[in-house]
Amino acid sequence: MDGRCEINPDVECAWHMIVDRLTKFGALDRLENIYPPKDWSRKQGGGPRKIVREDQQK
Amino acid sequence: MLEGGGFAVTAECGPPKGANPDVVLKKAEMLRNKVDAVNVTDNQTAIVRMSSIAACSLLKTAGLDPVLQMVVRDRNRIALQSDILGASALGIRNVLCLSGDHHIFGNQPQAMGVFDLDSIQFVQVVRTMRDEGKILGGDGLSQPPDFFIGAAANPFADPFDFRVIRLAKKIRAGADFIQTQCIYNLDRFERWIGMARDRGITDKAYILGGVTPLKSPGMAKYMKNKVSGMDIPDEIIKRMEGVPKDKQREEGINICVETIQRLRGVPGIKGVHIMAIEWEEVVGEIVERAGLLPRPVFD
Repeated sequence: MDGRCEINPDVECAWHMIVDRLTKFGALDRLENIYPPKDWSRKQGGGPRKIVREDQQK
Repeated sequence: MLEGGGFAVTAECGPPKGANPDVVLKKAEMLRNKVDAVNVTDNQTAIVRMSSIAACSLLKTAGLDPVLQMVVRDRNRIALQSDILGASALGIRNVLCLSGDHHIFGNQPQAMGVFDLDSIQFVQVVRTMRDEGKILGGDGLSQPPDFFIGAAANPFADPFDFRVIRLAKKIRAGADFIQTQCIYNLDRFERWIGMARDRGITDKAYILGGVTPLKSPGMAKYMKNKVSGMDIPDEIIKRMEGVPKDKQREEGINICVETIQRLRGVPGIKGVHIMAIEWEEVVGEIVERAGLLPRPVFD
């Protein structure tokens, strides 16, 4: 409320900042899109991670 | 009720902080024949209570039409989809898809907040399950769940201009009905619903205005200052303070009845949702005084 986070008033409201910024860019319509659920498979309990460094491959 | 074009009345039943089914059944008797459907809250304000599905099932068995509230705070997509199927199997026919109050406000602040899906994605998941018989990822269901899908809207949170965009998005995701945050600031509410009408949104879903009778000026101040997204004008607080202590509850009911009467005249509003918090016994009086009894009967 009033631009502050409802969890902790010391923190600015992230959504308020997002909306203000997108309004400034004239891109508020991006928030009208419905985004698909996030892919969490690489987060936290996703198991060991593997990165292939293509620049290191022979 | 809504599809029949009538002015709907719903109420709320908070499950007990305990395992006794009689508490739910007692509230059911207070609400019987007074309202068309009864929302059952899902661990509201992040306080552990009897599960919403279980309490809905008790209400259903008692012959009421429950509205299952489900928050995405406590369950991931596996549990949410599974519970949707289970609830449908139990004969529950309405679901209200919510984010849920942050767990820091409740009695389990150390809990892990799940928020795997957000409330809009959840609405869309339930719609896809119902209309296409598919879960996330595309696997088919042997029988789709059967639900009237709802979502919440808060006309009073900031930033104001964004509220209608978010409402439109929830309806596009699949919400058949909308229940709003408690309304005390009718001027702001009418501006909001006006913006929604201008966008043609009020024709696409049934919007029910939320009301909560105040018990005391203290409750009004608490809600104004401590409950996020609440807008209680100073006139309302002054009005509550302006009556003797033994008349305050009555004044709270008066304000609530007046709000409902004004909402009945607002184009685009298809009903009211009365959230009498731990005060279910007063719902019948409010509905009666608002001129909304008897409730029509449907098969």
